Amino acid sequence: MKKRSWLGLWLLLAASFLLSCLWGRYPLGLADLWEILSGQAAGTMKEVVFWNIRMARTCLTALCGAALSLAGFVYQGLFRNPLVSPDVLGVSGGASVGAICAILFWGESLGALQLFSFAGGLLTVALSLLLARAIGGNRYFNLIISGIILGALANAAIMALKYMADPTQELAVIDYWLMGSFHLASWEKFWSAAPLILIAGAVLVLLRYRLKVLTLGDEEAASLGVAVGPARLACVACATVLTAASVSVSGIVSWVGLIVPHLVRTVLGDDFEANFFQSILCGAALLLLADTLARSLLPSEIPISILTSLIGAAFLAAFLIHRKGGERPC
Amino acid sequence: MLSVENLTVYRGGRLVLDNVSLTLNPGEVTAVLGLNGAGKTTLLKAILGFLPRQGGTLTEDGQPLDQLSPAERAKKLAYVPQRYDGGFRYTAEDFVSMGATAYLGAFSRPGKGELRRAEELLRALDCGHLVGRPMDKLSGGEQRMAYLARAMLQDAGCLLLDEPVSSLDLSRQHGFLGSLRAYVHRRRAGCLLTIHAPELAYAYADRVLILHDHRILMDGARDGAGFEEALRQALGTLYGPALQVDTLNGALVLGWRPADHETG
Repeated sequence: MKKRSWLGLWLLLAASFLLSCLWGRYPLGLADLWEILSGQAAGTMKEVVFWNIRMARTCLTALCGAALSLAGFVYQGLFRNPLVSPDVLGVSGGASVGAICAILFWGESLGALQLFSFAGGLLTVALSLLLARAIGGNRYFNLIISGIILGALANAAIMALKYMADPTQELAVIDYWLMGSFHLASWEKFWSAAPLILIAGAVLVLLRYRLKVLTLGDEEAASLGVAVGPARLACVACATVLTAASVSVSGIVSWVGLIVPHLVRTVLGDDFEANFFQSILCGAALLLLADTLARSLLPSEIPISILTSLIGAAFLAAFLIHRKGGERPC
Repeated sequence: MLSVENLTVYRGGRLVLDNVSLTLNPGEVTAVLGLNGAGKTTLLKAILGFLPRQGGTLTEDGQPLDQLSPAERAKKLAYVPQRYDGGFRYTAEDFVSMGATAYLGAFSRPGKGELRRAEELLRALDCGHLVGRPMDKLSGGEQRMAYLARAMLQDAGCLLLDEPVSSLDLSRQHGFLGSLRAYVHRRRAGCLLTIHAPELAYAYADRVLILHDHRILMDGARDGAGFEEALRQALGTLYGPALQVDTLNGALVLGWRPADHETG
């Protein structure tokens, strides 16, 4: 049973990867894929589309899906709450402020946009942690309330910046960014985000057992020999880097980080360390499917958060109704 | 041997423990009795280092506990909290295996060996049937046993238990305390547990300690001279004249007679 669910996850990922590579405005078939991979199509339009556009977009989407889901899983563990999303400490709000500043003050520069949104996300989480320390008291409560406060401040800044923006051009760019999309994916973006995401992910893989003990609560974890403060900080830092790095290349992709870890726990069963890896695979696969839908449902591309929010919210409702009649889900 | 000397703790500006000193000897179960709010839980948590203290020293065989790393500390002190509050779901043996955390490297996790050991410990406590079952689906008594197994795997020199039997039915209370006492005597571990029932303390503890008005009102060894008389007196101070204390076949028996209740 266990082996079968792993196999299923890998197959799902492979299938969604293939689908994302082939599907699109310039459709490719399996025969084309064979030609491209075997070198028979060298120099053709097909090859250029496949390697420079499709493959870059597919890899970037898979990377972001995996990063957001893992970040969500880690945050849920740290806060011992299955309804926490990676935004809980304000990372998305901060990244948005950074991105909007870049759009307003640096115009078309994609590099500035990416750098500013990444830095904005990290800075906001750092401020949340400092505020939580200043508030003191119950750690879960003060972190969540600090995240809410920083999120609200970021929201005020977003509204102010949007109010200042030129409504014919900049405002549209801002709004489009806030809804997320992979249509500007490139290998450049992939390579700028991949090292950060891989390093943060690798540290979390190493720390996954410590994180599991932390889900027992701070006092129990400490009594079992975990250095709670450093372990918690390392996990928050890595999860924040994962989120900020992926948001900086795609804009805001909502709900993935909240829903995927949930889905994995409910469908595949509770096993903390297995769920850790399942979230990564499942997140990559589901975001690939969502992105494929986003660029093929309508003649023009749909921002991806429309789909992830819709599917995510529907899933959460179904999940809560299911829970009422059955087992505790987490 | 764990020594607590002149421990003083304030919580929220209020004095909770005032100059409390005690020693936990190896192979001895020490029960702490006291009214609600007397500072029993605070005493436990201050020893564990969860609460800041305003005075006093904590040493284990002369070595100050404050200087230890979390892992070294976990080899000296094991903790059983008042209730199970796992945020996520683990099987019982998985939960028990987390007792090995202090012996693992920062990036390692319990392996097959630790899991097997966890299962053996559960079986040794007559809880083999819990293997494979999720912790949050167990009864309160079964969860307690899993905690005891985890503390045994942790193999600390001292066990600190916060009201371990308060929510259990009568037979589970005796089952748990019997297993705990057997382990403490066998392992020669120190043990401090808080409890509300004097009759259980009388039956299972080697030493009884009573906290009252933030201080130690009584600290007596079970087989020491004048223990029963001291216990009666201390309980009288705690509960007033309404409490009736007697012994029957070696067990402590309690009755309650309210002051306005006319009896014949």
